[in-house]
Amino acid sequence: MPDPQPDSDTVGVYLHVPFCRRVCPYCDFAVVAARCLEASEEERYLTALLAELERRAPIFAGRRLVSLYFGGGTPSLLQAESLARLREAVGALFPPAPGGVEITLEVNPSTLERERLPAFRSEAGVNRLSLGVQSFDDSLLKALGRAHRAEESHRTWAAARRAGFENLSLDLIFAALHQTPAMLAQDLDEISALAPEHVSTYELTLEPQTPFGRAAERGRIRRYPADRAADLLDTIQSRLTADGFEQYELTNFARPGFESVHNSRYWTRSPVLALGTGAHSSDPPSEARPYGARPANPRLLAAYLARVEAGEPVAEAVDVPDAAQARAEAVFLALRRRVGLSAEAFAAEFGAAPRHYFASAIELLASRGLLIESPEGDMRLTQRGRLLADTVFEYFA
Amino acid sequence: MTRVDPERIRNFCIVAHIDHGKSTIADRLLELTGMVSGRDRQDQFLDNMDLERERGITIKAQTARMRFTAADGEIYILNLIDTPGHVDFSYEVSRALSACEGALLVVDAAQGIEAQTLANAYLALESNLEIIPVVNKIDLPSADPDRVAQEIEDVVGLDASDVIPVSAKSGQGVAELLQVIVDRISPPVGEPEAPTRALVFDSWFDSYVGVVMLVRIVDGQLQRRDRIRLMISGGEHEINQLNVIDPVPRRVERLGVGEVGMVVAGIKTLSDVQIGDTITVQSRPASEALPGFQEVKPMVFAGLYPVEAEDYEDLKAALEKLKLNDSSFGYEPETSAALGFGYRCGFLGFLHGEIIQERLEREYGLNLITTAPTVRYRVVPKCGEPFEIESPAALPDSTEIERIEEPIISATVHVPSEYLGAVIRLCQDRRGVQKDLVVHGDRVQVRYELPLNEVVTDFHDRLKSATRGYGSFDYDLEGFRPSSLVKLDVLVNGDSVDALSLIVHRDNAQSRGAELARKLKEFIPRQQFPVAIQAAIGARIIARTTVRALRKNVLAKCYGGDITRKRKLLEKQKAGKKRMKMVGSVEIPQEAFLAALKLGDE
Ligand SMILES: Nc1nc2c(ncn2[C@@H]2O[C@H](COP(=O)(O)OP(=O)(O)OP(=O)(O)O)[C@@H](O)[C@H]2O)c(=O)[nH]1
Ligand code: SF4
Ligand SMILES: [Mg+2]
Repeated sequence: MPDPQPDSDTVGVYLHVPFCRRVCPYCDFAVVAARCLEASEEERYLTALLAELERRAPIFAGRRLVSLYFGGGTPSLLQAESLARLREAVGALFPPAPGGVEITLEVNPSTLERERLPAFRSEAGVNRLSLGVQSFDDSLLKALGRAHRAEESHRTWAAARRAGFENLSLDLIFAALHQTPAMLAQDLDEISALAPEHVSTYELTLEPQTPFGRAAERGRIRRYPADRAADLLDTIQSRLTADGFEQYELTNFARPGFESVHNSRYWTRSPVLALGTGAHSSDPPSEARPYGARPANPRLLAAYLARVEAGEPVAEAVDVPDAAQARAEAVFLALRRRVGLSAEAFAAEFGAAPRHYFASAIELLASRGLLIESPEGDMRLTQRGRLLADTVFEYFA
Repeated sequence: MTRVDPERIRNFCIVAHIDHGKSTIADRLLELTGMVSGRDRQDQFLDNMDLERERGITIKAQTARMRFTAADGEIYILNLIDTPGHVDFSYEVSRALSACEGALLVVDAAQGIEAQTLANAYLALESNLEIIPVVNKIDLPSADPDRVAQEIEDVVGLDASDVIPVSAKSGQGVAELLQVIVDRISPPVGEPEAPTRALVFDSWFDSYVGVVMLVRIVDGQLQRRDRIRLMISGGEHEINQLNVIDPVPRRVERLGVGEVGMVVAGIKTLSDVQIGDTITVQSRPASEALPGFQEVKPMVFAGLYPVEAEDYEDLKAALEKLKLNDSSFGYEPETSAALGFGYRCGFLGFLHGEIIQERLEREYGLNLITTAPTVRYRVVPKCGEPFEIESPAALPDSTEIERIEEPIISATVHVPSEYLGAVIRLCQDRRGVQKDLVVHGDRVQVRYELPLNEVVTDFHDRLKSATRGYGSFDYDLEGFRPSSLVKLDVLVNGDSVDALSLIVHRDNAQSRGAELARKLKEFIPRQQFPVAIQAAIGARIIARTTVRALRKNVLAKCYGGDITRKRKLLEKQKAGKKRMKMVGSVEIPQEAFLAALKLGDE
């Protein structure tokens, strides 16, 4: 696992691919529907990504690459060759870290992608797949507006193993629509049987700007009752733990040694160069910006392309956290992880231990059994604290 | 410069029961005298507050001056004051009366005499005004002007043959009315040569010119540049503007005997001006001030608290300014453990309180929480002198109290006989005791003794709905009577929420307590621990419910790398919590208070 301190000599690169075959009714990512991705469209986007990479790389100069993440959208809609080109370009700018590079690709279970899996591995060097399984219950998949069914997940999974992937993650959705505890238990059984290396869990959120969000406003979709969602979360935690996973972060479970290198960079506030529509980078600290900066790219494809192609600055907004904001982030991001917050690392960055800034919050939360503080001042959440994490975090915001 | 001969002035007001058409008659009078042209025309022209226009009622008395060429060929100056009809604003009426020699008593030709018709007629008679009975809305199919004229003779004692039938809607009869005003109302009497005395009968604050005083010259005159003295408050100022209201303000150089106008004297300190004060001229001061107005005693009390604690100073400034415009409400600082710093305010009635709150919110941009309205109780302690309280918080422990007495009113209800049953049921339900019952044709007048606290919130609305709008009522305070009253407290996790304490009749305590607890439960969000909500009388818990502990508050959601968004969400969440009020360790959102405090008027 990476060092919990913001590191000074590595970089992770995130490449966003906004295309999806169709847009799921609950999705609020930066996506565009592309029934079949035209070669010219793919080429244009690729060119833009490469140009943006070229332009943004100097800020990260001298760093070694630890992770490359193809996210989306549905990045597996790209040709293996396109991914290979991107990887080469990244590799040319940032030499690989001694421990190797984690190269993740998000994949949707479908025939097209299944066929490309061997090439993704051999040509593009992908060594980790994150499969958008969501559930093995066809009625739920259908209700969620997903294109695939359980059958396709199984086939894609088998194909991935056949192609030699040894680090597979899958996404599991919960507290969604008509999902029952029994349905979730079934999903967990399936996961047991597939024995992935990593599981990411997501709660279905009904975002206002999405079709589901609007339906919920009008009362057409029921919001999942909080207590029942809590029950499901309990079930997930106990089942996956029993299956040998560790909940190394609030929503992520991994077998030892298979924690996501890339995602861990966010929780440790390590630099990430993120490219493409709607991408959020974490630029490393500089003299002028002692706590780094976070440029945010336009979410709309047209706006993104226009900016890149015109040679204009791509970011639409740049968040430059001040010391207080950075402290808040350091605490709430670290507490997401099972290992928690290191008082020493915190003090190294902010000049004093967390207690110096947050004494009353820490005491209150510890007295309520939500947080444990070690004699050294390290902090981590309790089991109850994990279930009430957003309540806890608020005390540090 | 022309002097206005007092002989050519007529000052009158329009009084009536609510909605009988006062403001609409004023519209026609202004049009007929050419004061309002077609372009400016709008219904109830003088109701210029947004609140008045929205609710369709008059809240503030309004003045307008008209020029009318009478049958004798002379030009007369007519000063009209339109008044509100609702019982809560009768103080406005009594002030208006003091500036007039006559009153139009308007009665709806279909509704006939109602409670406020009588109350206002008596006020006018007491002030020795010439009363012109006017039957309005004769255009209505259900109008029965002759019957109503007879009712006026029978009930008020004015000659039926003097009644002027009009329709403010069509304008029929209004021109005749103007002539009648000139003929029957006497011109103002006053000494033009005596030292000046002008009665301040209304005032308000204008952010450009400061305090504006609406005056009626009784003796002498006022001129621009005069140095004036306010005889009661003692302040001295120089007049820099005199206006008549035409019906928009128009500058004049002087105001003489009998005239009504606005005085601006660069006054910025609000406390320098009181309604009812007398203005005199410094160079030749009058020796005695005019009688002014009887102080009114508020009957209904409530705490007003700013939603944002930082707005406390603004609330204070707003109350000062509003008080200048409405001397009938009172306020003093009050603190609540749950709501922070605010003011205890006294009002003439429930609608008055509601209007004050709305004016503060709209005219001064404040966001307020109002605690449950209460009346003034008399407490007889086991030892020591009896005293009165205006807030449940002031009630001592029950062990120290001999008894509590509540204010009793004598309420007069006017209603068509077919609704009598409904009225009796309502009054009985409110612990009323019938005193007498008089029948006038098919209308009945019943008198009830009722506890004031049973009528302060929704009695009027209930009466209206039980009688399809035909019932009306008026009341006078009778005195205090011992009653089985208890203080109902609401506790969250054992801590009392002072802002929700109530004094209620013992028989209603259980249901009120349960209702309050239920409402609070609905609005208190689940917290990290269970929250017990209890209603109690002293140490005895009479209702109880629990908000279960929050089990999960973590959104398992992928924000991509958008840490900024996550941080902002947390900041927003925290800001939201800051707006909550803490009772012990329980966070209570504003809405919970609002909902619980609304219970009474549901
Ligand atoms: N048909 C008919 N309607 C009238 C007449 N005069 C007034 N109205 C209506 O009666 C309602 C009340 O009129 P207002 O002039 O506001 O009554 P008001 O006495 O000033 O009411 P408050 O000031 O609230 O006491 C309005 O809807 C008027 O349009 C009339 O002569 N004929
Ligand atoms: S596949 Fe994923 S990114 Fe694409 S629309 Fe569906 S939820 Fe959004
Ligand atoms: Mg009116």
